[in-house]
Amino acid sequence: MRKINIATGFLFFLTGLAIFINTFYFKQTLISDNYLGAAFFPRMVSVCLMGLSLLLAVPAFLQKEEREKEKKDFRSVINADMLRPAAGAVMLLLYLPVVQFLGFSLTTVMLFWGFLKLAGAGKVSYYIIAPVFTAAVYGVFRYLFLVQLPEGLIGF
Amino acid sequence: MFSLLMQGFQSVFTLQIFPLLAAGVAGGIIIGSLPGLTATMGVAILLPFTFGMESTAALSMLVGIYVGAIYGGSIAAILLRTPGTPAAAATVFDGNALVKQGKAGKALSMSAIASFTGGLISTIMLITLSPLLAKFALKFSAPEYFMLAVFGLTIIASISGKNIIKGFLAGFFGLFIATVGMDPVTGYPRFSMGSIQLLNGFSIIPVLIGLFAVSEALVQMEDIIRSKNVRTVITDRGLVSFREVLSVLPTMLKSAFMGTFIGSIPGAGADIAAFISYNEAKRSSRHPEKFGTGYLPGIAAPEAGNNGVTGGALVPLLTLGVPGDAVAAILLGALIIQGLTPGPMLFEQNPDIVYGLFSSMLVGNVLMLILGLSCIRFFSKIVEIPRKLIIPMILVLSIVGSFAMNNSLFDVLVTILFGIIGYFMIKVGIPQSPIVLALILGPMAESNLRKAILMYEGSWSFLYTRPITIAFIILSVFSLVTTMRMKKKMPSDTDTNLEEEGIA
Repeated sequence: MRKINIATGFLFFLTGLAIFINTFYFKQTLISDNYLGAAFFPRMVSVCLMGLSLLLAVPAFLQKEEREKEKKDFRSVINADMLRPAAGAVMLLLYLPVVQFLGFSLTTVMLFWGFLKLAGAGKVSYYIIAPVFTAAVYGVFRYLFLVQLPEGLIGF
Repeated sequence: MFSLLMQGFQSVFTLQIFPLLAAGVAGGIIIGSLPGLTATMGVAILLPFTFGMESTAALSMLVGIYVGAIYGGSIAAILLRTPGTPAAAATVFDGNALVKQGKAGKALSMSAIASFTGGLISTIMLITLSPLLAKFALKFSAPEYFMLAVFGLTIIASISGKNIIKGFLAGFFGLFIATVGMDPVTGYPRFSMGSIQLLNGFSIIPVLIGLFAVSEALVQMEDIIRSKNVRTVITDRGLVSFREVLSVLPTMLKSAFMGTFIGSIPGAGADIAAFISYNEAKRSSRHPEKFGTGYLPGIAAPEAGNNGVTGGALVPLLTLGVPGDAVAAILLGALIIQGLTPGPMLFEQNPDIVYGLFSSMLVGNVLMLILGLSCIRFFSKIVEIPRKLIIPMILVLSIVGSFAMNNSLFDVLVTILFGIIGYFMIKVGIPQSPIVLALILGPMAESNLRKAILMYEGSWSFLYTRPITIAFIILSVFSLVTTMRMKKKMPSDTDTNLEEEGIA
C-alpha cells in the first residue's frame, strides 16, 4: 500500500491546503470575526487534515517495500476491471440531465437496462423486471408518499 | 401512576386506536427500510392525516411510525448494506457481515430483539425517570455540547480498521464537508461556489446513500467482472437462540440506557446514540477483534442504542417542551395542533393523554418485535435476488431515496458524486463511516465551540473549569487510548478484511 498511501496523503494534503487558502478569502462581517469568524473552524479542520496527510504519506515514503509486492498492491487498486464501474458512474451522471427531459419512468428503465447490460445479465426476465420494478417504485413514492418524481416531457 | 398507566392501556386497546398503532408500526418499518426515507420523514408525511383524529389516537399512530422506522432502518442496513436511516449506519458493520455468512435470519432477529429491548427500557425510563433526566440534560450548554461532539468523534478511532490515520483523514474530510454552506453564526456562505443549493450545505441522507449504497453497487460491478462468487446464499434462516440473546443481554441493557440518556439531550439523536453504543460495546468487549465480522453484540449495541433514543427524546419534550430530536420536534407540532401545551403542566392537565402516549409506546414496541420476527423470512428473501439484478435495484432506490428528501435533483447529484468518492475510498482502504459521523457531529461541534469561546470571552478555559466537560475529556482520552491499545493487539488480517470490505 506504499504508493497508494503516498498518493492518498498527497491528495488530502492538497485538499487541506486548498481549504486553508480558501478561508483567507472569506469576508469578515462581525467584530469578533478576526478570531471566531466563518473561517475559524474550516481553518482548524484544514490544518488537521494537512497534518494527518503528512502522517500518512511521509512514513509511507520512507518505508521500503519489495518491488513485486508494491506492483501487486498498486494493481489491486488501479486496474482494467475499473472500466465497468467507471462506465456505470458515467451512466449515473448522464441520468441527471436525461431525467429532466424524459421523466423518471423512462429514464430509470433505461438506466436499469444499462446496468443489466454492463453487469452482463443475459436473462430476458431481468429486462422485464426493470419496468415492473420502476413502476412499483414510482407507484409507492408518487401515490403513497406523495413525492413528485421528475415528470419530463412524457409526464411520468 | 400505575392506575394512570392502566387507563392508558385501556384506551390503546380500543378499536379506534389499536389498528392505527399497528398500522403506524408496520408503516414505520416499511418507511425505515426504504433508503432515503427516515423516521422524521415518515412522521412528517403522515402528520397531516392526524389533524382530524382524537389526541391519543393521533399520537399513538405517530409514535408507532417513529418506533417502527428506527427499527426498519436496520433491515436495509443488514440486508443491502444500505442504512435505511442514518441511525442504522452502525448496524451495517456486523449485520451485513453476518448476512454474507448466510445468516440473515440471525442478524434480523437480533436487530428486532435489540430494538425491542432498547425501546422497552427507554419507555420504562421515560415513564419513571423523565423529570430527573430532564433536569440533568438541562445542565448542558455550549461547552458540554461541544465536548459531547468531540467524544462522539473519538469513535472514529474504533471504526477505522487498523489504520487510524486513514479513519481520521476521512473524519476531518467529513468535518470539512459539514462546513459547506452558510456559516451558522455569521451567515457567510462557505465553499458554496456560488451554488444556491449548497447554501444549506450537504444533506446527510444523499451523502449517506452515496457513500454506502452507490459505492457498494459500483464495487459489486467490479466483483461481477472478476467472476467472484459474491451471491449471498441464505444457509441459515434460523433466529438467534435464547442463549445467544442472554449472552448479549448486558450489551443491550447498557446500550439501551446510553441511548435513553443521549436521546434526552436535545440535539443528540438516534444516529449518535447508535455509534456511541457500538463504540462502547466494542471498547468494553473481551473480543473487540470480532466486531465487524458478524458479531452479535455489534448488531445488538447500535440497535438497542438507537431505539433507546425513542423514549429518551420524549423526556425533554414532555417535561420541558423542548424536543430531543427531529421526530420529537414534529411530535411537538402534533401536540400543539391538538391544542396541548407540552411541559410540566401537561402531566397535571392531561395525564390521560400523557399515559396514553406511554402505553402506546410500550404496545408499539411489542408490535414491532412481533412484526419484526414474523416477517424475517420475507425480508431475508431480498438478499437471494441475483447480484446482477440487485445492483440496478439498489441504484434506483438510491436515486429515488435521495430525491425524495427535498424533491431535488441536486441531492441525486450529491449521491452519485459521493458514490464515486466512496468507491475510490473503498479501493484505497479509507473507511467511509467517519465521514458520516463527522457530518452528523460537525455542525454541533462547530457552533457549540464558537458559542463556548464567546461565552468565555475568547478563552478556552471552559475545557477544564466545568465538571461535565472534564468528564467528557476524560471519557474521550480513555476511549482513544483503549481503542489504540486494542488495535495494537488485534490480528492484522481482521482489519485487512474490514478495509477490503470497506466497512471499517
